[in-house]
Amino acid sequence: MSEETPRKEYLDATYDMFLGSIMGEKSEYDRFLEWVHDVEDDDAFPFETCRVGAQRPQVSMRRTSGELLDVINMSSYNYLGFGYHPDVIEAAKEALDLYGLGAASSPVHSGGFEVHRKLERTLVDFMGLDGRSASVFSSGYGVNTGVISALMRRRHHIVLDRAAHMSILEGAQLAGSKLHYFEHNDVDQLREILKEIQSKKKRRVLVCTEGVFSADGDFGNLRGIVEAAKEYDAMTLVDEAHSFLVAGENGRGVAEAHGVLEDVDLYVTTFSKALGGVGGAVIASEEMARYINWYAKCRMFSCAIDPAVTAGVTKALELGGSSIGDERRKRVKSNAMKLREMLASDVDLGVSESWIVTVNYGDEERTIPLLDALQRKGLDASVLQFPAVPVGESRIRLFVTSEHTDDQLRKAADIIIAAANEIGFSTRSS
Amino acid sequence: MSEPSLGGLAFADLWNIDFHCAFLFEVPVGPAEALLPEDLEAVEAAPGLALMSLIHAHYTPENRGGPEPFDEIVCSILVHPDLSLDMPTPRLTLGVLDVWSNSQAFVEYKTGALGMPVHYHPSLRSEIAEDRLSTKVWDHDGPIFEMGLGKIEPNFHEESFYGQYFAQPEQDLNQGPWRWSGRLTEHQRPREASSTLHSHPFFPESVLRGSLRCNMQQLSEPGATVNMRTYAYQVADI
Repeated sequence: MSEETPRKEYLDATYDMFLGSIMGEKSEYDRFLEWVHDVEDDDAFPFETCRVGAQRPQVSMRRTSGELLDVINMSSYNYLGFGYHPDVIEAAKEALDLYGLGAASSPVHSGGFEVHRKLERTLVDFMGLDGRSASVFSSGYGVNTGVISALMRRRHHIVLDRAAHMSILEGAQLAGSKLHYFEHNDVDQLREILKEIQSKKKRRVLVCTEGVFSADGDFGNLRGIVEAAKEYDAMTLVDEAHSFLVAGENGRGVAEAHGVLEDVDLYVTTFSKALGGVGGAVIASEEMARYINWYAKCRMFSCAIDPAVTAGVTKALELGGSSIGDERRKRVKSNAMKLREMLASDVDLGVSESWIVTVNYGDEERTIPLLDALQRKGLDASVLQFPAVPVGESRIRLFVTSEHTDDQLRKAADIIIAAANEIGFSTRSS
Repeated sequence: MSEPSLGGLAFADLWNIDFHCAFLFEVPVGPAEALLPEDLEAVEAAPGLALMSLIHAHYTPENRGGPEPFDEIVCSILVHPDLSLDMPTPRLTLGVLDVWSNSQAFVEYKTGALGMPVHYHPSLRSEIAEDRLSTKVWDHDGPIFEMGLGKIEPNFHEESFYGQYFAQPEQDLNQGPWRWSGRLTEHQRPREASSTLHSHPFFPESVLRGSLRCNMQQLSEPGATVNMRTYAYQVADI
């Protein structure tokens, strides 16, 4: 930023600063809105944009100011492009005609439709796991909060990777169990914790981790973590939200790639990433899945996932299990590699090794000007800053899809490099 | 012929109870859990509410109690069961806080046979109403509780269910299964139930500070005998 530009106070504010007040007055709302308005007054507010069309690689989006921008879309999770695939849309339309808009009831009562059963069977068939069932939720976030709090109680132990998703943490807090954390992917520390727990009393223990960690774009050390859990008779929950349908030879996730798929007790996925829909599921033993259907409160006391989305997700899953899926899996990985190569000599790519390509830009105060600049140059990306990541470790996340063209990848890389030079986080200039 | 074991634990005793009154009261979960051994977890019937079970049993003399009829009162918190025991799913699991009886022989026997904290209180007395639908219990310190159906019309029927208990009279946490069978009336209409718990050394003070709304009542049928089967206990491996 130029030295002549008067410093904007809103650049110093971070999301956590408006978390609340312990007093009776409610000024956090006003203060938060004041911050938003200050940014909007500068015509620089890059959040809460609206897409004008599907989540394709190139989209038009409207900012809160009303301005319409055409951008390369690297901020949605539609990794294999199934969210707008014609067969998926057709399946959803047919279900909409047949079943109407919503399920209008809990899945345990009268909100179950034949499309739900079909999705459950398709999920289990896709995973190729005998003796397993799927429990489908209307929200991917709800899978973790519901499953963990259904199975774990106050006297139990939950051991979490430090980088685990908020939904896992909230599920663990809801369960009220004793929480333990191991440093990200640190199997030795996990073993120490499990050994300590085991040395005391016989208790139910659940170890939670992920296939791909979305903040860093790196893989979970599933082979080591699942083996350690088994060694100490602990259950495992692996959230493959960002890796289901993409990682592994058959798209069965990082657990497949690491050869531990059959050893994972609770395999969690969402439908909003590579399947391009919304909702989620846990795949577990038939007994556990049936129990979860009833005892995951956010499932039992929520309306079932809507039938049109269910049918669309099922079709996306069928496509994902076909040669189309194989092709797109290869392409998304190849695209991510190409983008990394285009960026590597100009910016810090962090530890990312998946289809979530991260670019570190450091200071939080760069967040708003950076995202504003990216959008105006023609790229929409996701940004993460404190408190989602440590202070001074802010980053851009680029969600690469199989449908991005080489030209779009090149343009995106050029925009990032130009912004890095302007804002001052290019590794060439340092 | 000996009766079958339950949960892998040998049958021990068949108790014949001529009056059995078991009420559940809602108590704050925090103070309730604080009374329990560390390894037990209170059942949270509603957010923030645990359940305290209060039982008055009146026994006929043949129940190892000596020549006279005698009383037993039991205060427990409902806790989560141990489902590793191979037995039908327990309907109730009691985290036993205290057991009082006015029969020394019963106290001595039950302490050894069930591994429970059973205490001898010779001044314990009860008055069961003529219609046998309510009871009062007191001792030399004063009234302990009054419990009754109140205005509720009883609906007696045959019932049989399984349960478990945990108790920690000293160092070890003991556990055992039980089976209740007999004729009872049961309801969950707390606003119409009649019950008063008095401030008395039998009750932990901390739970008496809660709402103490009666949550459920069970009462045995007048003239019918309740059968309570108990089994050998073991040290809980939890």
